[in-house]
Formats: sequence, C-alpha cells, structure tokens
Amino acid sequence: MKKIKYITILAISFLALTSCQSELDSYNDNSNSPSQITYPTTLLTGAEVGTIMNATGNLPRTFTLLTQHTNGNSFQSLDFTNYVLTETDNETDWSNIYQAGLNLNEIITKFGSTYSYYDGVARVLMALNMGYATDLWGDVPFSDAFKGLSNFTPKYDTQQEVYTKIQLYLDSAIIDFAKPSNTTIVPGADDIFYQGDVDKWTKLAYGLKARYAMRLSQRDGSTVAATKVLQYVANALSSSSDNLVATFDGGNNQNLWYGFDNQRGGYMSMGKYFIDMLKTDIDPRLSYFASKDADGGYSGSAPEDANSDASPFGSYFAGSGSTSNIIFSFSEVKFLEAEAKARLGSTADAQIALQAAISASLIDVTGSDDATFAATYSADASIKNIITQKYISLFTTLEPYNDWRRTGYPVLTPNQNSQSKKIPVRLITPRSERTLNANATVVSSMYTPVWWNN
Amino acid sequence: MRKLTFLLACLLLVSVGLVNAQSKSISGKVVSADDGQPVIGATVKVKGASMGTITNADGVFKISVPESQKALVVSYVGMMNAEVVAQNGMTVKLQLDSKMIDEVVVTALGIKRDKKALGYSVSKVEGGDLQKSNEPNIIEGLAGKVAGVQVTSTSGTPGASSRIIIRGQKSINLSSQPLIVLDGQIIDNSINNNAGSGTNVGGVDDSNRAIDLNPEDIENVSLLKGAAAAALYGENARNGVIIYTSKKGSKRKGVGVDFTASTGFEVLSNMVDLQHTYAAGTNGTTYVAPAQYGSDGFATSNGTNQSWGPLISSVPGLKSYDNVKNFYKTGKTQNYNVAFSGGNDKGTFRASLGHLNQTGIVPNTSLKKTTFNLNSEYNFTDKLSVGADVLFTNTSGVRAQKGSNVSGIMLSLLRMPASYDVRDYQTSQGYNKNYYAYYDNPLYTVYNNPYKDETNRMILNGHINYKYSKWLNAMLRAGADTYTTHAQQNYSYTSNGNSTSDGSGQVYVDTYNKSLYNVDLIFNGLVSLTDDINLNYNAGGSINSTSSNDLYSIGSTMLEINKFNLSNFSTFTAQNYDSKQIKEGIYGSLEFGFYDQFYLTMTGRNDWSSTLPKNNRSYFYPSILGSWLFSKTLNLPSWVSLGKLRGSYASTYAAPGPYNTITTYTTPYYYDTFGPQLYSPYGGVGAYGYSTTLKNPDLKPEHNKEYELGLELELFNRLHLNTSAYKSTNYDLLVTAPIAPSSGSSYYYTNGPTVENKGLEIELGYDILKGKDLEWNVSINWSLNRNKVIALQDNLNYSAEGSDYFSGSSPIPAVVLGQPLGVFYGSYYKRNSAGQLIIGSDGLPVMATDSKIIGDPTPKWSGGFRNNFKYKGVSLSFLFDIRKGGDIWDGTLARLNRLGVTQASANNRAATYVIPGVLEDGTANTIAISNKAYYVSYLGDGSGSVNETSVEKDINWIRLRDVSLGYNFTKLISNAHSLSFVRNAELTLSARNLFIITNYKGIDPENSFAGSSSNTIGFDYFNSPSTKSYYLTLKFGF
Repeated sequence: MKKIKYITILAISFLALTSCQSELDSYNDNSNSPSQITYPTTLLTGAEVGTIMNATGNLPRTFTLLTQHTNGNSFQSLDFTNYVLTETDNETDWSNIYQAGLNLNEIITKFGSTYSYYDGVARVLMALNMGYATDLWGDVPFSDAFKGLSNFTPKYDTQQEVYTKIQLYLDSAIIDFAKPSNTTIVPGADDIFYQGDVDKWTKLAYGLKARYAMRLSQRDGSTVAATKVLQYVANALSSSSDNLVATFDGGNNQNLWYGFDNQRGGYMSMGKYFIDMLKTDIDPRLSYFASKDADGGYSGSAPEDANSDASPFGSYFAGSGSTSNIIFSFSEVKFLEAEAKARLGSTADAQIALQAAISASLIDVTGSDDATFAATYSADASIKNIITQKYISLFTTLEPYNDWRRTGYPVLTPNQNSQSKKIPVRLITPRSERTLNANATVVSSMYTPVWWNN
Repeated sequence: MRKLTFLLACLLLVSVGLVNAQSKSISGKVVSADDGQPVIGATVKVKGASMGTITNADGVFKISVPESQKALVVSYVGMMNAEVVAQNGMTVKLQLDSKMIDEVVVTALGIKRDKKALGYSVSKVEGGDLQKSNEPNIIEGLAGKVAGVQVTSTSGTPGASSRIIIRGQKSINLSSQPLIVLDGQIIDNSINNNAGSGTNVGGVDDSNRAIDLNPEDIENVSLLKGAAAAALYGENARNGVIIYTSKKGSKRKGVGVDFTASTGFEVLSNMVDLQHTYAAGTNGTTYVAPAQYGSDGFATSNGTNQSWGPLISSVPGLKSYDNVKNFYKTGKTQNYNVAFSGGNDKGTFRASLGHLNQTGIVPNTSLKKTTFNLNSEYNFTDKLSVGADVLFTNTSGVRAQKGSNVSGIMLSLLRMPASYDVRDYQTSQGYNKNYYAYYDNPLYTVYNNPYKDETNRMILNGHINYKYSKWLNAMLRAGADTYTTHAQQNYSYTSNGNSTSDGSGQVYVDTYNKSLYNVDLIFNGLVSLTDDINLNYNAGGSINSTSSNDLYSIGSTMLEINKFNLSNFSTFTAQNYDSKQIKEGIYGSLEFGFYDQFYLTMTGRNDWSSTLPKNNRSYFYPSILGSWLFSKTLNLPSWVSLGKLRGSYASTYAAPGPYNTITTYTTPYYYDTFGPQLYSPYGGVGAYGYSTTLKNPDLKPEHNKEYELGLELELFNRLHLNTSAYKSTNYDLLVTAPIAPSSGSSYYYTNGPTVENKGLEIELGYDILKGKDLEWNVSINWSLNRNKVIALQDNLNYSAEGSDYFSGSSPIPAVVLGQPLGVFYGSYYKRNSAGQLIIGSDGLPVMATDSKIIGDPTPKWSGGFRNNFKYKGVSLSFLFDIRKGGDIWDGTLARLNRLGVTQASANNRAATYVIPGVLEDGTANTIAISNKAYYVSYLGDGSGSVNETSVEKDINWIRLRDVSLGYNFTKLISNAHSLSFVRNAELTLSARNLFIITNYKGIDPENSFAGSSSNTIGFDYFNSPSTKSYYLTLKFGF
C-alpha cells in the first residue's frame, strides 16, 4: 500500500502541475504586434500610405483607360478597355479606401480632441478618400462606416449626404488648423505629404472644398457651384509648391504606375486619342507623358486596334520607382477657378485663370513654363476648352473622368469593339459589399449615373 | 482515485473467493513460442469450466483444477489458443496467430489493444506496403491504401507536399489533416512557406514535414479514423490519428544487419496537348519575333506570349520545337538504408541510417535526406523498463518556382510558342532570354532563381514504464520534436521574379525554428472484476507546448550582379514572428469486457488551452464506445469466423492558434489589385494600422460530435469485411470570415459555420488462394463522404474560404449554406429561363455581372483495389487508385486556349463557330465567330469569358498507383554453405504511377495548386506535373 500512496501523491502532483495557470495566462500575449497605440503619429503615416495607393494606384489607372488617356492591350487591362468591369475588379480599391478611412477615423476619435493638427489632417484625408469612394460608387457608407467590431453592415449614406459630410470634415479641419497647438506632438516627418506644414494643409482643405463644390454644378446649378468655388479657391493652393504629392522611396515602395508596368508588362500603353491630341497641339508635355514607341516616335494604341508597340508610359508619371505623382495640384485650383469664372460669365478672368492653370501644369510636368503655349491654348475660355485642357493637365488623376461625366468633355468615341459600345459612368457595387453587407445599396449597372451626374 | 480504490476492493473480494474454492492448485508459466518472453495477461481456464485466471507480469499463473478435469485452455489476443494437460510447474508456449481476428493494433497513447475489442474503426498499413510505394514522403505512401483516406500530392517535384484528409474536411481555418504520431510522440507535419513563398499559390512546392521520417524505419501504420478512436489524444485528433510505429529490435543472437539499396528513375507522366504548328504572333498572319535584349540584360523589344501567328512552316528560318520534351529530363533516385538490430532478455535496440538522394524531372531540383534512427528498450527489472528513441534527420532541397508566378516554370513553359526553343535561355552575358520579356525562361529560372532549403530535425522520445502489477502500470513519457529550417530564395539580375519585377535582383533569407514538447503521465491496468468481466483503464495527464520563431529578411536591388548575400543589396525588409501555445489536459478511459463478447468503453478528457479567452479555455469532452462480438454469442455457422458490431459517440474540441482573441495594430499593407503593394517603413518612416483582420475576444473552441457504426466480418477464414458509417458534425468552426470592407476591416476571425460530414467506408479482403506455394489475395477499399455546410452563425455570410485565390479573375473556394465546403464561386454567363445562353451582338455570350456557384470539387467516392500474388519466392502486387466525380477549375487550359498554344485551338484556324444560344431578342443565335474569338473569349479566359466555362465537371480517374514484382532468393543463396548467415535476400522491381485513365483535359487531376497547407482543392493553374517512376530494390538481412 505504500507504493500506492506514493503513486497517488505523484498523480496528484501531476494534476496540480497540469492546472498550472501562469503559462495558460501568459502564452497568448502577442509579442509580435501591439494592441494599443500611444500617439497618432504612426497611424497618420499608415493612412497617408493608403491615400497614396487610392490616389495613384489601380483606380486612376483603370479610369485613364476609360478616358482613353491610355489603352489596355492585354489581359485585365484589355477587359477594362472593353468596358468589362466586374464586381470583383475594384474590390481591393474599395477595401483600401475604407482601410485608410478606418485609421483616419481612429486618429479622429481616439486622438482628435488632444491633437488638433492630427485631427485636421485626418479629416482632410478622410474627405479626399471618401470623395474617391462616392464619385465612383455613388451612395457609400460614411456615417456608419469604420466601426470595426460594432458594425459589420454599415448603412449606405446617399451621395448627397456624403458630399455634405465631406464639406463638414473640411470645415472642421480648417478650424483645427487655425487653433494654436497645445501639445508638442505635432505632425512632422510622420506626415509624408507636407511634413506637418499646417498652412499647406489649410490650403489643401480649401482646394478640396472647391473641387467638391464644383462637382455639384449639375445639382446645385452652375451659379451656386461656381460662386462657392471662387470663395474657396481664394484660400487654396497658391503655387505648385503647395501641391499634394505622392512620393515613393523607390525601394520597397515603388511608383505604382512604374511598378504595374514592370509586373504587368504589355498590359497597357498610352492611348491613341490622348497622344494624337498632344501631337496635334505640339504639346511640350508629350515626351513627358509618353515614352517613345517601337519606331522611335510617339503613338497611342486604340481600343479597336490594340497595339502593344505603342508608346509606353512616360517619365513624368512612371519614369522610375521613385517618380512622384501629383494627387492635388495648384493647376487644378486654377482650372476650377477658370471654370467658375466662365460659368459666371467672366471670360477674361477665366482666360487668365486658364493660362495659369496650363502654365502650372507645364511646370509640374516638364519643369518649366511655356508662356506661348499656355497663352495659345487658353485663348478659348469656353467650358469645353477649359475641361479639355484640364483633361490633358490632370492626366493620372481621376478628375478627367469626373469632368467627362459632369460636362461631357472631351467628346470621346466609345470603344466599338466592346459589347456595350458605351463608356461606363460609375463602378458597380463590389462583391464583398453585395454579399456581406445586408444594408448595401446594390447597384449592378455601370450605366446608372451617380447622383451628382443627373 | 476513489474509483480506483473501489475497483481495488472489488478485485480483492474476487481473489479471496478464488482462494477459498475447493480444488487442487497448480501453477505454471506462459511464454511466447516466438521469443520465449512471458505472456502477460493470458487467460488460463479449465476446459469446459467458466473459472479461470490471468497470468501476471512474469507470465506466471496459479489455478485450481478440479480432480475430474486435467485439460487447461490458455488464450491470449494475437496468439493461438493452446490446450494442455495441467501439471504443476509447467511452461505453456503460445504460438503467434497471424489471423486478422486477433490482430493487435496500436491505439491512442500508444497502447496496444486487441482489435476485436475496439468500438471504432482502425485501419492498418504494413510498413512493407509503405515501402513498396517508393514514396519518400510517408504521407504520400498511404495513397489509395485505406478507405476514407484521401491523399493529394501537390506535384511531382522532389519534396513536394502531400495532403491527407480522413473522412472529409472538418475545418476551415484549422487543419483538417490528422495528427501524426511516431512511437507515442506527436510530431509536426506542418508546411512552412518560407523564403519567397509567402503564398500558397506562387513560390515553390514546400514539403510537409512528415517527409523527414524515413519510410524504411516504419514497421506499421495504424490509422484511427474517427473522433472516438482519438478522443484521448485531444483536440487535433478529431481529424483522425496516424500512428507510425518504428521497427524495433528483437531478441536474437548477435547483431542483425538489414541492408536495402534502391535506385530508380522518374519521368514526366502527363501533359496537356499543345500545338506545334503555329508560330508566335497575335493576328494570324504576322510572326512576332521573340524579345530582344540589350547588353545590360534588359529587353529592347518585348515579343509576345501569344501563338496566334502564321504557320511555322510558312516563315523562313523558323522551326518547331517540342519544348516540354526539351525541358524535362529524367529524374534519378538513390536510396540506401542500413539497420542494425539486436536484443537479449534485458533489452532490444535498432539503429538505422538512411540516405535518399533524388533529382527531379525539372532540371536543378533535388531532395536529399539523411536519417539516423535509434530505438531502444531496456528492462532494468521485471517491473521497470526504460525506452528511448532518437531520430535525427537532415533534409535539404533545391526547388523550382511554380504556379501563378512570372518566374514559374510551368507558366512560361506551357505558354511558349512552338517557334521558340526553350534551350535558348540566356543571353551571351548569361542573362534571362525568353520569347516574352515579362516571363523568365523556365531553364533560366531553374538555374538562376533557385530556392534552397535545409532542415535539421531532432525527435527525441523517452519513456519510463513501471509495471507494479497487472492492474497498475505507470508510464512517464516525454518527447521533443524540434527543427530548424533555413531557406533562401534568389532572384537573379534580369529575372522577373523579384517582388517589383524590375530585374534588379532580390534575396529572401529565412530561418524558422519550431519545437513541440509533450509530456504524458499515464496509469493503466487490467482489472478482472469477475471471471467474465474485465476492466482496462487508463488515466493520465499531458502537457503539450508548441513554439516557433521565424526570422525573415529580404534584400532588394543588388549591387554586384548575382551575389546573394544580404550585404550585396541596398534595400531591406526584415520581419520576425514568434508564436507559442500550451495545452494541458487530463484524461481517462474505462474499458469493460464482458465474457470476451461485449466491450464498453468510456473516455473523458478535459483540456486547457492558452490560445482561448479565460472563460472559454477549459473544455471537457467524453466518448462512449461499444462492441459486440456476435459470432461468439450467437450460434452461427462455423464458417463465420468473426462477427462484430460496433458503435460509438465522441465529442472533441479544437482550439485556435495563438493570438486570435485580441485585435492588434500591424504594419499597414495596401494592395494594388494588379500592381505592387505599399507598406511601411515608407521612405524610412514606420507606421501602424489597425489590423485588417478583427479578432473575436469571446472566441470558443471548435466542437465536433461524431457518431459511428460498424460491422466487421470474417468468413471462411478468407474473407474480411470492415465497414463503417459515420456522421460527424463540426460546430463553431473557426473562420477568417470576410466582412463588408466598409466596416474598415476586411476579415473577422471568429466562430462561424457548422459543417457536417457523413460517410460510408468499406474494406474488403479476400484470400482467393491460400496454397502452400501459391497465394493470391485481393483487397478493396471504397468510401464516400458527403460534406455540407448546415448552418452559418451571426448572419455572417462567408463568401470565401480563406484567401487562397490569386486574383479577381479566378473563382474563389466558397463557404455557402447547404453546399460542401470549397465550392467554386465565380463568374458565369446569362441564360434565359430555358437555360439557353444569351448571346450578344458580337456572337459571344453575355456575362452576368455577379457570381454564383459554378462547381464543386468534392469527389463522389474513391476507392483502391490491390492484388497480391505469391508463388514460392516470387511476389507480385499492384494497386489501382480510383476516384469518381468532383469538379476541377482548369485555369491552365483556359489560359492556354486564350494564348493559342493548345492543340485544340490549332486544329482549324479558319473555322468559325456559332455558340448555341439565343440573341437578346429571343431568336436563335446565328452569329459566327472566328476560331480565335472562340478560343480566346469563350473557351479561353480572354476578355468576355467567364470562370464557368473553365470548370471541368465530374472528373474521374483510375490510376495504377504502384506495381511491384519481388523475388525472394534467400533459400537460393543460404543453401550455399558459406552464405548460410543470410537471413533474407530479396530483389524487387517496382513502378509508381504507371498510367492514369481520366476524363480530365488538364495535366493531372490529383495535383493541388494551393499546396497541402491549404484546405483549397480542385484548382489547377500551371500546377507542376506529376511523375511516373521505376525502381529496383535489393534487400539483404543477415
């Protein structure tokens, strides 16, 4: 029986060992990543990286195909040129916008009251990102979005509500930037756009207010929209040095146009419509927008006759892994001003603004102004010419597509090889939202215009 | 303990009763005729009487025999009954019984049990059958051999992983693969996507780590298929348990030596039908020359990847090449094993050394494996024994790029126009040269972008066994399985394979350590409650811990050309990831045996897991099993040698991996659908973002309930039948559920769907001939499994199962209510109410804008059919592996059609096709489309095509899995006097995968694109092909 006792003791001690709590309690502490963030700095950098993706990645690349700045010669890019845009093609773009939005929302809700400059920057970037979402998808979640665990099925705000909210966010940001800083934690190197320059952020906020005010020209009416725009552009970007620019380190983070062309070689080249336009105008930006084709000249590929030997992307926007891309420019501000003046009947003022807009673009693209060229192409201050010049100058942004939908300029001939022979006027609801969000306002036709386009 | 005390008391009462009986008492000893070892627990009965006793730990028995009766019957499981005349001091020798009915199998916790008493299904595979397959991977070696077991190889490249699933997929996020146990030690069989192969769909075919084991060291394999069988192993055992038992030494004179040498070669087995008549080009008339390269190695013109050019014969200077033939070569395998074994009364040992050297059919791919294995057992006293097993392996490989990958061999090789010669793979400076500048030439990539990995692994396992008496045995077992893998992926200068595809070169360096530690303390014993009621019990506790750390560095943009040291690069990414978890459990089982006819087993286990929130961390799960040997109870005809009915119910749980209960902030990644990603540090600035995967703070373990019924029969001592029917329901499955991205996150790690598996398994063996010289037996296994998602939770709609799909244009494996797991969800064409295609004005069908279920990869049933012939020393064996049904998404063929490289696309380039269907106005379609449009946009995956047309429905196959012809010439040479020391001499010729008959148009319906670590099956996108191989094996035993 002694042995049995011994074994019993052994067994009990073993049981005691197995119920040992400390490992069970501590082993699940994640040493790889934090569950709390102390300052908004790292979140801001991350959200800015996301904004760069949204502003210079797949979205603008896809829409330059539809605006015929570029052409899809094979694979998915050819599908887009043929207006085959399925519910999965832009799923990632949608997710990226909301991923950036979540982190901006984290800054606003968790740190906004203490760090007003971070609050302001986050609000400006939120306005920019939600602008991308609503311009392309129409009704989108905003007031209910970014709630993480507490709301998996955000309701969709109407585009009108989203536009109101965008303007409110920008107004709040402008107020934030006007406050004196009450903390030593202010944006600096973590702000990869403006390195914490609050004046530039304020100008950008006004610039975006102008962009989104003009967008409602069909809804608010020409005069109302134009009057608002003029009010905002007065405080907006005042030179190209105020431009909101996406920079790339050229190492792990490469220019997305350049990177796309490396990874998806042969998918895209420059478009025939755009290149022909530049050639006709003898536009000094031609050799920056396009590289030489296989024959040593400049040519574009047409949707109906894809030519993979046409001019590849140019050095201005896809020169190397570290080539910068403009997200919002002084040039755009001047175009907005020109259009507003034209809409209000001030042709002379419109011409001046238009020339400044073209000059700003020439500087942005080629590095120097060409006064003669700018004067020549600003002589006609019609809405048609303003928007056409804007179409050239703001290539690589989404503005040419938005303006084409809003004004019908320039007049594009739809791809005759496509099944629909109609250029889509929006994106359809992503599959992830259609299948996973019971509150989604599902739109399944690319030909249903968004609210401001009616 | 209280229970044990009670049982003890019962036992004492019974013993007292025996002593008091009026009769003559005699004692004796029972030993095994085979090795003279005492037989413990043998039943000794007086003939014709119910009274009897059981031998003790020394094989000694004491029994009282009435005056009238002299005969004793001695019986023991796995041995023939002996009838002897009772004499005091006698020794009874029991002969081993080779008959199946008394088969002893290794069950949970390494405990040997009499198979007939088991209440669940166990299948056994002999080591010899494993070795016959000549598969270096002990998992792949099980293919086709056992009912209900599905083995899928990733590809035929050396070291490629194999996936094994028993009774259907049970989980989504956790592994559905069974637990692997080697001599009582749970060992790691994970697949680690190391350097440069961070996804399941690109990179290289990594190994499943069971490959480190040497099939030559395996004595036999027990497969515990159901949850009931495995309840004592704890959570992962619900997927079944595969118990490998090593060969052990046995008592003999001197040291035995076994030597095996085999050599083999392998060749490509299947390939798609490619055209060899049309040249590179896009418009049918103009030949497009291959890419041209400048002296810096970069392309000056890009060439094309399309074969829609003119006839090769019409272009002066062009020739047609069979690039597939010119690329693949003959793989060679050499395998040597030597084992020393021996033993005496005190102990046994076996030490073996194995070396495998395999080169693949893809140039510059190889697998090398060296194993050292030592098994020893030592009996200090009759009661105390100690055993120790040591396994050391070194496995290294050179692997080639696969799949959806511009450096992938198959992608570039199959798309190659016949007018280009694959052997023209490098420029004069040694840079990449190909028909199309954006792909690496397959030969260039195998020589210049190698992935090399090396794993050093040690598995240690020791146990101390103290046999106090037959009713109390205590064993302490501790084991460690620890390994380090070092892997390196090079992307050379000018290769398109680096992450930015700009040819600037890259190196990935990865060091991965993993350790599993197990400690078990088990008490067990046999208690005879009455003469006819026995109790086997187990009680114990275990601690399992798993930890790993991964240190990973990427160097980008090389300085000096093709020097692959991190210091030769200008941009770096470094990451490390640590993981640890611990599980503690206590368990017990009681097995009652009544009259050697009825058996009732109850088990219970409670686990505590560190990976769950405190409130959900502890969980208890029971099982109950019963079996009835009705052939002993009922008065059945004598030709019914064995009849057994069994049934079981078991509940099991499984805990998530570590760190899944708290959402964290991580390095933000932003993906461009078709381009590069952006992440931090960004230009030197670090960042955090809220994780895109939310974690559920109230996570629960997965819960499985399984019912099983079985019938086992043995008739005429020739026919063996083992059937099982089961229903297994898995609740609260852990999922990384996609959620609406507008919530700000894309995934939610939580408990989700309920999945049910129902199935039938039949194993049938028949000894057709059992002559002295001629033997012929057949064995058939057949099984079906029906998998279905029967509930979703929280109204979460799971559109995708994991993330193992590779771009927006491929279907995804989906989780859909009422459907099997992993159905294909993808794009499709619009149809009218009569089911006819709606055709657009361009003559092509109109695609729907959404997606739907377009296929189901689950097979209808599968089976195996083996024949064994033996005539004197000659033996012949072959195994057919059959699978019926299941769809495959053949993305490879669709892409090849689109590019004009398939034979079908070249049969008649002038042909036109009218796709059957109706126009939008309802009239029949009469619009003819060109051959090119038909193959690009309808049968291909070109603009306007849908996933639906790339799904090949109801794929069946019959595969001659292995054939072996052996000749045992021991007698021939041991007759010669000087060679009489030869114990065994055998020569075997064998072949693997000799042919396959299938309706699949792709390369091989078995190969899995996503690799075995993934639950995704049925996707084919430039998968590496399988091989057929031939071996010659020579075995000597001394």
